[in-house]
Amino acid sequence: MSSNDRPFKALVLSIVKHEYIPLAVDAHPRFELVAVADDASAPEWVHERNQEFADRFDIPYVKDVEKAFSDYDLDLAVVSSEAERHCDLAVRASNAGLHVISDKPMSNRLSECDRVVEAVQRNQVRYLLWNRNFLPAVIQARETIEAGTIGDLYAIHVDFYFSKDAGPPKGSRAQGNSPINWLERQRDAHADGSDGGVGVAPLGELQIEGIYPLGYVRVLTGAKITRVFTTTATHFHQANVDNNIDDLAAVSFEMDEGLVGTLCMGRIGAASHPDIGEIKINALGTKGGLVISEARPEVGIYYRDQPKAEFKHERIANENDFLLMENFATAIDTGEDTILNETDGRDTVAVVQAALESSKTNRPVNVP
Amino acid sequence: MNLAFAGSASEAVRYGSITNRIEGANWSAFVPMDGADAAKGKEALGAFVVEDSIDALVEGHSKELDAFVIHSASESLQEAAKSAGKAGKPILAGPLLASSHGALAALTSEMNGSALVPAFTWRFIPAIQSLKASLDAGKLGEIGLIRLHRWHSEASDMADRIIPAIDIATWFFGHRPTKIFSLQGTSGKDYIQVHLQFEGDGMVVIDDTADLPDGGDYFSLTVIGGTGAAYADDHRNMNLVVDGVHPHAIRTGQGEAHLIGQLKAFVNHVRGEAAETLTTQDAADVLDVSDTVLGRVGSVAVWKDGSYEFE
Repeated sequence: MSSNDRPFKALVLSIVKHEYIPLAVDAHPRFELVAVADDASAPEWVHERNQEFADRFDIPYVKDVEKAFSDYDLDLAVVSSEAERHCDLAVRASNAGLHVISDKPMSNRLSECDRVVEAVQRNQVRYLLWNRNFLPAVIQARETIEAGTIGDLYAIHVDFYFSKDAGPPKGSRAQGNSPINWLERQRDAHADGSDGGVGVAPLGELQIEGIYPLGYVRVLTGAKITRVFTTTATHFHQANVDNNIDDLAAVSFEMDEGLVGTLCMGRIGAASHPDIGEIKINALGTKGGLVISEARPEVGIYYRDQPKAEFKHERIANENDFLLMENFATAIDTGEDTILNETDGRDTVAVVQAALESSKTNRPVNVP
Repeated sequence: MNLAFAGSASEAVRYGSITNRIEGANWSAFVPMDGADAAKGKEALGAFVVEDSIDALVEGHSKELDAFVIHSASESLQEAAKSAGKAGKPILAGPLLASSHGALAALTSEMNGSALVPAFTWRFIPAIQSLKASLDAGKLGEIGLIRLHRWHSEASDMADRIIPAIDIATWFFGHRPTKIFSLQGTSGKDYIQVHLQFEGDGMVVIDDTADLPDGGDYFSLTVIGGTGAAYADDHRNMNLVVDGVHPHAIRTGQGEAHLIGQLKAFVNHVRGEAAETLTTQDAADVLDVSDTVLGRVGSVAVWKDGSYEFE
């Protein structure tokens, strides 16, 4: 199925969310997009987005997933549907013998993730949950830790404050107005890319963005989180208030191998940071500490009449997308694991699920 | 205003260096503590009187003095405060008056009503003052999260280390936390992480280690509010030395502004110009929290009926 001489052929399995994933697939010389597919029963707005993407890339759009599996010579599926459909599409692709790249979050349900783990492993295909572990600063953190510069890790802390807005601010709904419908708000947000939680089921920031910082913890420590104590809040956005989901969270955690750590994260609003957000990794080891800003390297660009929405500090030398695809190609070639495989993804969802339970019960919760 | 200073010679040098920043106040007397060089301390402060003990100073010069400043990290701080209390004059004592609620209660019970002002010098650090001013001005909105990283290289009592961080958090929120949780891990390192929840939806996360290699420390305080955020992070305040190996980060210092701020506030309080000052009750509230943080690591404590209970 795979050879360095033949590009890997990718089926885009719904493209209602982040285009950057199929775009990264398309941009890598060893991959090519062949078709877009989705279930005929998908809502019309999903078909519209799928069709628009297919037209732009001059590839067919097939409204029958299984037919697309059989009609095209495929190697992988790229899943970027509504969050609650990620796993089902991934399982079906795995059962068709396709490797899978999935948008985040892996799912909003742990039972669905378990289905993916079973299907991927039974079918001996490779799975990659999209992540940011190849950002230059994260690579630097990993290399520094692996070189033993700060000794053996005993604690890790991630600050992940994402400054994109998510609709009107908390407290802005006028009396008598209806609560914000989650899906409608996410659909509207597609234009500015703040639709990371697109789907019918409302998703808090832990569920939507938690994969990124938890992915850092996973790749930097190699350890699993076993127990969490969490506090959450709905502090910033009316859509989160109306749908009773968090937009700010703090997680204290214990890991195997005796490590401990914390994660503080939230969608803190565009007014709270000049760029995409304050995102940092603080690691403590037996020989010292490491303070890493995820944004680096960056350049500052300021000019007259600069649009308010334009970040004044521009990240540079970011090859995360290419390196993820390179990692995926290597995994297909060699049978090795990807940098964030199905088990890692499942464990992340398990941590988030335990964290949310902890925030409701006000007690530490073991990670299932 | 005539102030008496009791402490080490090195602290006398620090306090002496800021004398001209405190208008209308001077150091009249010096009591060396912790084996201090009396002559050096006297000269640094420009003091007229040196006595071997606070008891002797109180006995011989009480009428000439308006207030006492005692700065000692040693166990003798509390004894010195009690001695100074006999003069019935205001006393600023620090850097940390007590490490536990019980120790503070024992001390205050013996102060005979003297005005004992606990030093909370960290509150006067320029970066912290700036963040607090932003909060008080309403720029940041209601606090959602305070995140504090504090790493040291010098071993010290863990309670002493976490008290400033807990005080900053509770001071910013304006009230005590309703839930407390802490972890240390199994590494055996001199380390703790603290997780606090406040009424409403506020939260605080602190990590503190004393296991950095010699010569380095790190501090970062982030306040996330409903309408804004503020970042006081050493990482943002580093300059570089390029000397042929790796570039070295060097932090731009904030001078003695915290000491000046603390002393000005105290002097204003003594003069009656500042309506409020820090009280031993403020310190007791903070120590109640820090005692609980260290009380049962790994368990959740909940504020219930006037005290913390572990669940």
